[in-house]
Amino acid sequence: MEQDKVLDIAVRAGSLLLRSGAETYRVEETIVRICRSYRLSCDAFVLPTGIFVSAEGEKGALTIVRRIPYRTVDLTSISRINALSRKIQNERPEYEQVLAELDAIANIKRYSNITIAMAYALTAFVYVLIFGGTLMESLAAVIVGIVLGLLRFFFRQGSSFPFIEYFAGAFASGILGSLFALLLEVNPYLVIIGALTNLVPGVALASGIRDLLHGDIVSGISRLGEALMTVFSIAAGTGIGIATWHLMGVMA
Amino acid sequence: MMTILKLLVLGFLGSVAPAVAINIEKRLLLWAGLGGMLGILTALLVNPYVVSFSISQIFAGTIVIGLYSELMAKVLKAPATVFVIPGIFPLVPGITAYKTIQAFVNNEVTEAILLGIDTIAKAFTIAFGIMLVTALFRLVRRTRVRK
Repeated sequence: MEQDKVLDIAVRAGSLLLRSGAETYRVEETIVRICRSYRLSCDAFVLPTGIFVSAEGEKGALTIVRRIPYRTVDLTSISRINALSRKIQNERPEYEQVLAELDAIANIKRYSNITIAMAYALTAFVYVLIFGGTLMESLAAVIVGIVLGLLRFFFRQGSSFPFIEYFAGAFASGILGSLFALLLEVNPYLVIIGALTNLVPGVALASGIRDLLHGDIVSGISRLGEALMTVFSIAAGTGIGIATWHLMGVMA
Repeated sequence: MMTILKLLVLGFLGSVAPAVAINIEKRLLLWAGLGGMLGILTALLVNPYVVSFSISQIFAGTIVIGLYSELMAKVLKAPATVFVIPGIFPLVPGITAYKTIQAFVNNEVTEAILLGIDTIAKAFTIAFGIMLVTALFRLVRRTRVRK
Protein backbone atom coordinates (compact mmCIF):
# COMPACT_ATOMS: atom_id res chain seq x y z
CA MET A 1 0.00 0.00 0.00
CA GLU A 2 1.21 3.53 -0.77
CA GLN A 3 2.65 5.71 1.93
CA ASP A 4 -0.10 8.35 1.81
CA LYS A 5 -2.87 5.77 2.06
CA VAL A 6 -1.29 4.10 5.08
CA LEU A 7 -0.91 7.45 6.78
CA ASP A 8 -4.49 8.32 5.88
CA ILE A 9 -6.03 5.28 7.58
CA ALA A 10 -3.68 5.57 10.56
CA VAL A 11 -4.71 9.18 11.17
CA ARG A 12 -8.39 8.44 10.57
CA ALA A 13 -8.32 5.63 13.12
CA GLY A 14 -6.37 7.82 15.55
CA SER A 15 -8.71 10.79 15.33
CA LEU A 16 -11.75 8.55 15.76
CA LEU A 17 -10.13 7.13 18.91
CA LEU A 18 -9.27 10.55 20.30
CA ARG A 19 -12.78 11.80 19.60
CA SER A 20 -14.10 8.82 21.57
CA GLY A 21 -12.12 9.87 24.63
CA ALA A 22 -9.25 7.36 24.45
CA GLU A 23 -6.03 8.08 26.35
CA THR A 24 -3.34 9.78 24.29
CA TYR A 25 -0.88 6.91 24.63
CA ARG A 26 -3.49 4.54 23.19
CA VAL A 27 -3.95 6.84 20.18
CA GLU A 28 -0.20 7.11 19.62
CA GLU A 29 0.26 3.35 19.90
CA THR A 30 -2.57 2.63 17.48
CA ILE A 31 -1.22 5.04 14.84
CA VAL A 32 2.29 3.64 15.06
CA ARG A 33 1.01 0.06 15.05
CA ILE A 34 -1.04 0.61 11.88
CA CYS A 35 1.89 2.26 10.09
CA ARG A 36 4.28 -0.51 11.14
CA SER A 37 1.87 -3.18 9.88
CA TYR A 38 2.36 -1.77 6.37
CA ARG A 39 6.13 -1.42 6.86
CA LEU A 40 6.05 2.35 7.23
CA SER A 41 8.10 3.95 9.96
CA CYS A 42 6.24 6.82 11.53
CA ASP A 43 6.17 8.98 14.61
CA ALA A 44 2.98 10.18 16.27
CA PHE A 45 2.56 13.00 18.71
CA VAL A 46 -0.90 13.26 20.17
CA LEU A 47 -2.48 15.89 22.38
CA PRO A 48 -6.08 15.86 23.58
CA THR A 49 -6.88 18.52 20.98
CA GLY A 50 -4.89 17.35 17.99
CA ILE A 51 -2.82 14.70 16.22
CA PHE A 52 0.54 15.16 14.52
CA VAL A 53 1.87 12.26 12.48
CA SER A 54 4.89 12.17 10.28
CA ALA A 55 6.15 9.24 8.19
CA GLU A 56 9.25 8.78 6.09
CA GLY A 57 9.01 6.43 3.13
CA GLU A 58 10.10 6.18 -0.50
CA LYS A 59 8.22 9.41 -1.34
CA GLY A 60 10.08 11.39 1.31
CA ALA A 61 8.66 12.75 4.51
CA LEU A 62 4.90 13.12 4.79
CA THR A 63 3.10 14.83 7.65
CA ILE A 64 -0.53 15.10 8.65
CA VAL A 65 -1.88 17.40 11.35
CA ARG A 66 -5.44 16.80 12.46
CA ARG A 67 -7.29 19.10 14.83
CA ILE A 68 -9.82 17.49 17.21
CA PRO A 69 -12.42 20.10 18.12
CA TYR A 70 -14.53 18.05 20.54
CA ARG A 71 -14.30 14.87 22.55
CA THR A 72 -16.89 12.63 24.15
CA VAL A 73 -16.53 9.25 25.80
CA ASP A 74 -17.60 6.39 23.54
CA LEU A 75 -16.47 2.98 24.76
CA THR A 76 -17.90 1.10 21.77
CA SER A 77 -15.77 3.03 19.29
CA ILE A 78 -12.67 2.56 21.42
CA SER A 79 -13.06 -1.19 21.56
CA ARG A 80 -13.99 -1.50 17.85
CA ILE A 81 -10.95 0.47 16.71
CA ASN A 82 -8.79 -1.56 19.03
CA ALA A 83 -10.08 -4.71 17.34
CA LEU A 84 -9.60 -3.16 13.89
CA SER A 85 -5.98 -2.19 14.59
CA ARG A 86 -5.21 -5.76 15.67
CA LYS A 87 -6.87 -7.05 12.52
CA ILE A 88 -4.75 -4.68 10.42
CA GLN A 89 -1.64 -5.93 12.19
CA ASN A 90 -2.46 -9.57 11.46
CA GLU A 91 -4.13 -9.49 8.03
CA ARG A 92 -2.99 -6.23 6.42
CA PRO A 93 -6.28 -5.61 4.54
CA GLU A 94 -6.61 -3.33 1.50
CA TYR A 95 -7.14 0.44 1.79
CA GLU A 96 -10.80 0.41 0.68
CA GLN A 97 -11.68 -2.35 3.13
CA VAL A 98 -10.15 -0.48 6.08
CA LEU A 99 -11.90 2.72 5.03
CA ALA A 100 -15.24 0.90 4.92
CA GLU A 101 -14.67 -0.50 8.41
CA LEU A 102 -13.68 2.90 9.78
CA ASP A 103 -16.84 4.39 8.27
CA ALA A 104 -18.90 1.65 9.88
CA ILE A 105 -17.34 2.45 13.27
CA ALA A 106 -17.96 6.19 12.83
CA ASN A 107 -21.64 5.53 12.10
CA ILE A 108 -22.09 2.93 14.81
CA LYS A 109 -25.53 2.48 16.32
CA ARG A 110 -25.77 4.27 19.63
CA TYR A 111 -28.24 3.97 22.46
CA SER A 112 -31.42 5.95 21.75
CA ASN A 113 -31.89 9.35 23.36
CA ILE A 114 -34.60 7.95 25.61
CA THR A 115 -32.32 5.18 26.86
CA ILE A 116 -29.59 7.70 27.65
CA ALA A 117 -32.05 9.94 29.51
CA MET A 118 -33.13 6.89 31.51
CA ALA A 119 -29.47 6.10 32.22
CA TYR A 120 -29.01 9.66 33.53
CA ALA A 121 -32.09 9.24 35.71
CA LEU A 122 -30.86 5.89 37.05
CA THR A 123 -27.41 7.32 37.78
CA ALA A 124 -29.00 10.17 39.76
CA PHE A 125 -31.25 7.73 41.64
CA VAL A 126 -28.42 5.34 42.53
CA TYR A 127 -25.89 7.96 43.62
CA VAL A 128 -28.30 9.77 45.93
CA LEU A 129 -28.80 6.43 47.68
CA ILE A 130 -25.04 5.76 47.76
CA PHE A 131 -24.49 9.18 49.33
CA GLY A 132 -27.01 8.22 52.01
CA GLY A 133 -30.17 9.94 50.76
CA THR A 134 -33.75 8.85 51.35
CA LEU A 135 -36.01 7.32 48.72
CA MET A 136 -37.86 10.62 48.33
CA GLU A 137 -34.59 12.42 47.65
CA SER A 138 -33.52 9.91 45.02
CA LEU A 139 -36.90 10.14 43.29
CA ALA A 140 -36.51 13.91 43.15
CA ALA A 141 -33.03 13.38 41.70
CA VAL A 142 -34.51 11.13 38.99
CA ILE A 143 -36.46 14.10 37.62
CA VAL A 144 -33.35 16.29 37.70
CA GLY A 145 -31.44 13.48 35.95
CA ILE A 146 -34.01 13.33 33.13
CA VAL A 147 -33.73 17.10 32.69
CA LEU A 148 -29.94 16.77 32.46
CA GLY A 149 -30.36 14.04 29.83
CA LEU A 150 -32.67 16.26 27.78
CA LEU A 151 -30.26 19.20 28.04
CA ARG A 152 -27.51 16.95 26.73
CA PHE A 153 -29.31 16.31 23.42
CA PHE A 154 -30.15 19.95 23.10
CA PHE A 155 -26.53 21.02 23.45
CA ARG A 156 -24.90 18.17 21.54
CA GLN A 157 -26.95 18.92 18.41
CA GLY A 158 -25.33 22.26 17.72
CA SER A 159 -21.62 22.58 18.37
CA SER A 160 -21.68 25.12 21.17
CA PHE A 161 -18.99 25.61 23.79
CA PRO A 162 -18.64 22.33 25.70
CA PHE A 163 -18.72 24.01 29.10
CA ILE A 164 -22.09 25.73 28.45
CA GLU A 165 -23.74 22.30 28.64
CA TYR A 166 -22.29 21.72 32.12
CA PHE A 167 -23.18 25.21 33.26
CA ALA A 168 -26.77 24.94 32.03
CA GLY A 169 -27.19 21.47 33.53
CA ALA A 170 -25.87 22.59 36.90
CA PHE A 171 -28.02 25.74 36.78
CA ALA A 172 -31.14 23.66 36.13
CA SER A 173 -30.14 21.27 38.96
CA GLY A 174 -29.69 24.19 41.35
CA ILE A 175 -33.15 25.58 40.59
CA LEU A 176 -34.89 22.18 40.58
CA GLY A 177 -33.11 21.07 43.76
CA SER A 178 -34.31 24.21 45.57
CA LEU A 179 -37.81 23.69 44.17
CA PHE A 180 -37.94 20.11 45.48
CA ALA A 181 -36.56 21.22 48.82
CA LEU A 182 -39.55 23.55 49.12
CA LEU A 183 -42.17 21.11 47.80
CA LEU A 184 -41.00 17.81 49.31
CA GLU A 185 -38.85 19.02 52.20
CA VAL A 186 -35.80 17.09 50.99
CA ASN A 187 -32.13 17.98 51.38
CA PRO A 188 -31.47 20.00 48.20
CA TYR A 189 -27.70 19.37 48.24
CA LEU A 190 -28.08 15.58 48.15
CA VAL A 191 -30.50 15.84 45.22
CA ILE A 192 -28.20 18.22 43.35
CA ILE A 193 -24.99 16.26 43.98
CA GLY A 194 -26.64 12.95 43.05
CA ALA A 195 -27.96 14.32 39.78
CA LEU A 196 -24.70 16.10 38.96
CA THR A 197 -22.76 12.83 39.25
CA ASN A 198 -23.78 12.53 35.60
CA LEU A 199 -21.68 15.56 34.71
CA VAL A 200 -18.73 15.23 37.10
CA PRO A 201 -15.54 14.77 35.05
CA GLY A 202 -14.36 11.54 36.68
CA VAL A 203 -13.03 10.14 33.42
CA ALA A 204 -11.07 13.29 32.56
CA LEU A 205 -9.66 13.46 36.09
CA ALA A 206 -8.54 9.83 36.16
CA SER A 207 -7.20 9.69 32.60
CA GLY A 208 -5.43 13.03 33.07
CA ILE A 209 -3.48 11.62 35.97
CA ARG A 210 -2.96 8.41 34.02
CA ASP A 211 -1.42 10.42 31.19
CA LEU A 212 0.81 12.20 33.71
CA LEU A 213 2.03 8.96 35.24
CA HIS A 214 2.65 7.67 31.73
CA GLY A 215 4.97 10.61 31.06
CA ASP A 216 2.58 12.38 28.65
CA ILE A 217 2.92 15.54 30.66
CA VAL A 218 1.32 17.98 28.24
CA SER A 219 -1.72 15.75 27.68
CA GLY A 220 -2.07 15.05 31.38
CA ILE A 221 -2.03 18.70 32.37
CA SER A 222 -4.47 19.69 29.64
CA ARG A 223 -6.91 16.95 30.65
CA LEU A 224 -6.68 18.06 34.27
CA GLY A 225 -7.34 21.60 33.05
CA GLU A 226 -10.40 20.32 31.23
CA ALA A 227 -11.60 18.55 34.37
CA LEU A 228 -11.02 21.66 36.46
CA MET A 229 -12.88 23.84 33.97
CA THR A 230 -15.80 21.38 33.97
CA VAL A 231 -15.95 21.34 37.77
CA PHE A 232 -15.86 25.14 37.81
CA SER A 233 -18.70 25.37 35.27
CA ILE A 234 -20.75 22.94 37.34
CA ALA A 235 -20.08 24.77 40.60
CA ALA A 236 -20.79 28.18 39.08
CA GLY A 237 -24.00 26.87 37.51
CA THR A 238 -25.25 25.36 40.77
CA GLY A 239 -24.33 28.41 42.80
CA ILE A 240 -26.04 30.80 40.41
CA GLY A 241 -29.05 28.47 40.17
CA ILE A 242 -29.53 28.38 43.95
CA ALA A 243 -28.96 32.14 44.19
CA THR A 244 -31.51 32.79 41.44
CA TRP A 245 -34.07 30.68 43.31
CA HIS A 246 -33.57 32.67 46.50
CA LEU A 247 -33.77 35.91 44.54
CA MET A 248 -37.10 34.84 43.07
CA GLY A 249 -38.27 34.03 46.59
CA VAL A 250 -37.30 37.50 47.77
CA MET A 251 -39.10 39.17 44.87
CA ALA A 252 -42.27 37.09 45.15
CA MET B 1 -25.48 -6.95 56.28
CA MET B 2 -28.47 -5.38 54.59
CA THR B 3 -26.59 -2.15 53.99
CA ILE B 4 -23.70 -4.06 52.43
CA LEU B 5 -26.06 -5.91 50.12
CA LYS B 6 -27.79 -2.66 49.25
CA LEU B 7 -24.44 -1.01 48.48
CA LEU B 8 -23.40 -3.91 46.25
CA VAL B 9 -26.58 -3.58 44.20
CA LEU B 10 -26.07 0.18 44.07
CA GLY B 11 -22.45 -0.31 43.00
CA PHE B 12 -23.60 -2.55 40.17
CA LEU B 13 -26.23 -0.08 38.98
CA GLY B 14 -23.88 2.82 39.61
CA SER B 15 -21.52 1.35 37.02
CA VAL B 16 -24.12 0.15 34.53
CA ALA B 17 -26.05 3.42 34.28
CA PRO B 18 -23.08 5.71 33.53
CA ALA B 19 -21.71 3.02 31.18
CA VAL B 20 -24.83 3.35 29.03
CA ALA B 21 -24.39 7.11 28.93
CA ILE B 22 -20.84 6.64 27.57
CA ASN B 23 -22.05 4.16 24.95
CA ILE B 24 -20.70 0.80 26.11
CA GLU B 25 -21.35 -2.26 23.93
CA LYS B 26 -24.48 -4.12 25.02
CA ARG B 27 -22.64 -7.45 25.40
CA LEU B 28 -20.24 -5.88 27.92
CA LEU B 29 -22.82 -4.01 29.99
CA LEU B 30 -23.36 -6.61 32.73
CA TRP B 31 -19.63 -7.31 33.00
CA ALA B 32 -18.90 -3.62 33.47
CA GLY B 33 -21.48 -3.50 36.24
CA LEU B 34 -19.89 -6.50 37.94
CA GLY B 35 -16.59 -4.58 37.99
CA GLY B 36 -18.21 -1.70 39.84
CA MET B 37 -19.73 -4.15 42.33
CA LEU B 38 -16.36 -5.80 42.94
CA GLY B 39 -14.78 -2.40 43.57
CA ILE B 40 -17.39 -1.52 46.21
CA LEU B 41 -17.14 -5.01 47.74
CA THR B 42 -13.36 -4.67 48.12
CA ALA B 43 -13.68 -1.20 49.63
CA LEU B 44 -16.19 -2.55 52.12
CA LEU B 45 -13.97 -5.54 52.96
CA VAL B 46 -11.20 -3.12 53.89
CA ASN B 47 -13.53 -1.17 56.16
CA PRO B 48 -17.24 -2.02 56.27
CA TYR B 49 -18.18 0.92 58.49
CA VAL B 50 -17.13 3.85 56.34
CA VAL B 51 -19.18 4.47 53.20
CA SER B 52 -17.63 7.77 52.13
CA PHE B 53 -14.52 5.98 51.01
CA SER B 54 -11.04 6.64 52.39
CA ILE B 55 -7.78 6.46 50.43
CA SER B 56 -6.99 2.88 51.45
CA GLN B 57 -10.49 1.72 50.54
CA ILE B 58 -10.26 3.41 47.15
CA PHE B 59 -6.80 1.97 46.52
CA ALA B 60 -7.86 -1.60 47.29
CA GLY B 61 -11.01 -1.22 45.21
CA THR B 62 -9.08 0.18 42.26
CA ILE B 63 -6.52 -2.62 42.31
CA VAL B 64 -9.27 -5.23 42.22
CA ILE B 65 -11.10 -3.39 39.44
CA GLY B 66 -7.83 -3.19 37.49
CA LEU B 67 -7.16 -6.92 37.83
CA TYR B 68 -10.75 -7.75 36.94
CA SER B 69 -10.60 -5.47 33.89
CA GLU B 70 -7.37 -7.00 32.56
CA LEU B 71 -8.84 -10.47 33.03
CA MET B 72 -12.10 -9.52 31.28
CA ALA B 73 -10.15 -7.82 28.50
CA LYS B 74 -8.56 -11.19 27.73
CA VAL B 75 -11.76 -13.20 28.03
CA LEU B 76 -14.13 -10.86 26.19
CA LYS B 77 -11.62 -9.40 23.69
CA ALA B 78 -12.07 -5.72 24.48
CA PRO B 79 -9.60 -3.14 25.82
CA ALA B 80 -9.32 -3.04 29.61
CA THR B 81 -10.36 0.65 29.72
CA VAL B 82 -13.88 -0.35 28.75
CA PHE B 83 -14.22 -2.08 32.12
CA VAL B 84 -12.03 0.28 34.12
CA ILE B 85 -13.97 3.49 33.44
CA PRO B 86 -17.42 2.24 34.54
CA GLY B 87 -15.82 0.22 37.33
CA ILE B 88 -14.10 3.15 39.05
CA PHE B 89 -17.17 5.36 38.70
CA PRO B 90 -18.53 4.59 42.20
CA LEU B 91 -15.07 5.33 43.67
CA VAL B 92 -14.33 8.60 41.82
CA PRO B 93 -14.32 11.52 44.30
CA GLY B 94 -16.96 13.47 42.41
CA ILE B 95 -18.71 14.76 45.53
CA THR B 96 -15.46 15.80 47.14
CA ALA B 97 -14.55 17.75 44.00
CA TYR B 98 -17.96 19.35 44.01
CA LYS B 99 -17.79 20.20 47.73
CA THR B 100 -14.37 21.78 47.19
CA ILE B 101 -15.66 24.26 44.67
CA GLN B 102 -18.81 24.79 46.73
CA ALA B 103 -16.59 25.81 49.65
CA PHE B 104 -14.61 28.14 47.39
CA VAL B 105 -17.83 29.73 46.16
CA ASN B 106 -19.02 30.20 49.76
CA ASN B 107 -15.70 31.88 50.59
CA GLU B 108 -14.65 29.11 53.03
CA VAL B 109 -11.10 29.01 51.71
CA THR B 110 -9.51 26.85 54.44
CA GLU B 111 -12.21 24.22 54.09
CA ALA B 112 -11.86 24.38 50.30
CA ILE B 113 -8.10 23.78 50.42
CA LEU B 114 -8.52 20.77 52.73
CA LEU B 115 -11.21 19.31 50.50
CA GLY B 116 -9.14 20.10 47.40
CA ILE B 117 -6.13 18.17 48.69
CA ASP B 118 -8.45 15.30 49.60
CA THR B 119 -9.89 15.27 46.05
CA ILE B 120 -6.49 15.31 44.38
CA ALA B 121 -5.16 12.56 46.64
CA LYS B 122 -8.17 10.34 45.92
CA ALA B 123 -7.97 10.94 42.18
CA PHE B 124 -4.25 10.12 42.25
CA THR B 125 -4.99 6.96 44.22
CA ILE B 126 -7.36 5.72 41.53
CA ALA B 127 -5.02 6.58 38.69
CA PHE B 128 -2.03 5.09 40.49
CA GLY B 129 -3.87 1.85 41.29
CA ILE B 130 -4.91 1.39 37.67
CA MET B 131 -1.40 2.27 36.43
CA LEU B 132 0.13 -0.28 38.77
CA VAL B 133 -2.01 -3.11 37.41
CA THR B 134 -1.54 -2.03 33.79
CA ALA B 135 2.24 -1.83 34.24
CA LEU B 136 2.32 -5.26 35.85
CA PHE B 137 0.39 -6.87 33.01
CA ARG B 138 2.58 -5.17 30.39
CA LEU B 139 5.69 -6.44 32.13
CA VAL B 140 4.36 -10.00 32.22
CA ARG B 141 3.38 -9.84 28.56
CA ARG B 142 6.78 -8.50 27.52
CA THR B 143 8.74 -11.15 29.40
CA ARG B 144 6.53 -13.82 27.88
CA VAL B 145 7.17 -12.50 24.35
CA ARG B 146 10.93 -12.56 24.95
CA LYS B 147 10.86 -16.23 25.90
